[in-house]
Amino acid sequence: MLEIRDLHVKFHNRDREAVQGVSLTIHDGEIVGLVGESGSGKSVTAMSVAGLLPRRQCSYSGEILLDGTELLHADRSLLRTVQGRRIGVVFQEPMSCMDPLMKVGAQVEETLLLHTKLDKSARRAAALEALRDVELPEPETVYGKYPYELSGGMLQRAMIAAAIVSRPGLLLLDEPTTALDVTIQAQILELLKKLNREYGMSMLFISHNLNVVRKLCGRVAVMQRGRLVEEGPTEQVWTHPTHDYTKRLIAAIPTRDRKEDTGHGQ
Amino acid sequence: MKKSNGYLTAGCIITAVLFAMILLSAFWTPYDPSAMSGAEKLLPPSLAHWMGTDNFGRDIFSRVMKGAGTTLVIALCTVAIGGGCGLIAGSLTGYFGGRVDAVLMRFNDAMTAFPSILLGLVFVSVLGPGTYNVILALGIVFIPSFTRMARSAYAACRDVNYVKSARLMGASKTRILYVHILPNTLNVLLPAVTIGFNNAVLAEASMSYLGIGSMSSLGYMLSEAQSMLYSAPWYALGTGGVIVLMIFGVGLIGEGLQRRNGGQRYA
Repeated sequence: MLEIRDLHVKFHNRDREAVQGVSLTIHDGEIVGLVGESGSGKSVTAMSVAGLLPRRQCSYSGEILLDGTELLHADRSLLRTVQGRRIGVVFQEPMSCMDPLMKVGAQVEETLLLHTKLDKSARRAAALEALRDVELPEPETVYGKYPYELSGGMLQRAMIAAAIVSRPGLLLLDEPTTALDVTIQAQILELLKKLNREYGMSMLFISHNLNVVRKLCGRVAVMQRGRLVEEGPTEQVWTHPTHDYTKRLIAAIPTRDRKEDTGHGQ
Repeated sequence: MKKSNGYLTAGCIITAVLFAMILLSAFWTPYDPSAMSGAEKLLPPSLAHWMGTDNFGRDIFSRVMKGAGTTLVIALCTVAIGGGCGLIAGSLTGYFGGRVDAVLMRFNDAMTAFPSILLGLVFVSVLGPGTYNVILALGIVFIPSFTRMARSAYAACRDVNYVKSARLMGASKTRILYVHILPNTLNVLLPAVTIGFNNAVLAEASMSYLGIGSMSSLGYMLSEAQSMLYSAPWYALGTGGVIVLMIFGVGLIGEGLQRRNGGQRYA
């Protein structure tokens, strides 16, 4: 599905490369977690896949192949045919990711309007189906509402609906649950699993919340300071972490008995 | 947001009355605005002549009705040219930034360094006098301020998440600029348009007053009235009053729009 080969990204205004030689493969129907602290380069990696790198402000090399199509160096017009149709993206803050002056339905339909020749009623039907897929109550009502009329959890569902409405093969999820409270988080994770099962959608799930990653992802990759330090099946990484950083990350997870231990005996 | 807004209502009423008067003047005026009458020279306001008559015995109210129409058309066209070009230039520089931005904005700075009337005079003297050239000249003069306004509004929206999402959905640049961002900048740009309209009315009046504008506009009448300030003060008062009302009405609309947006001021 997706193959990242030796990706390097360096922003002109920084000394260190944001991404230093990352290679990562996502197979069809697989959910891969990408974890690491802020600034570890996980979001830049995702941005590169999504074609959202500010190309003039950075230098980059490597290859990103989506079903054989090279994306990293592809020109804008090719990128536009991929964005939205073959890759869907869901961001962290649903509140700010929706155009405040556009109705939810119109935003869910956007990719259909851009990439297909479907007419208005067909687009509406597809949007309603997507809204139903993400288990929003009363899709018809939600369709005609403005973003400010929905709650955060509902908006995140609507964002996911917008991302999956054209049935892309790959879904990029950049901390999609971070801004939500825990119960809604759990629901969204269930929803993502369902979408993965039913439509065979591959997902790249970026998060710094290891518990969430463990629940959702079959495979996990750990990034630190721009490098991929460890990669493997989630359970294996969990029980037998090889890299020091991974060990510390896992040790830092708050559990019921041991609250927020930094590992430094503070 | 749905709360009643006194400024907006009052502004709309004043503007609507003036607009109705201007529309009416296209079909009917109390007297022929250019009919002279030796017997009715310099009459003070009366029921027959609401604003009195001028030194040729022409009915001032009829002339003001016609003149307000000319002024309005010139101001609207000026705002359309200035606002249209300014929006396009501002959206491009604001959204893309970089070298285009640097070059265009320095050019913009150079334009704003000249007082607008002076710049207008330069353009009219190059293009020649006449209503259309005045519109063109004023329109060009008004581009920089709109560009600046649109640029800052677009720059603020450039990296907003919903714009990023639109980009990720594969929307074209034109669509992002004018379907996604434009509606979100209107709360800044609409009040700017009303201020621009008022400046255009004043600039046109000043240019006509200086004798290089349109021969039938309010500003030109005002310059005529100046020589009769003592013998027929109603001439200047009537003409000036309509200009004031026009600006006041649109100004109130602008103020109302700003207040509706939560009281932020952009000027």
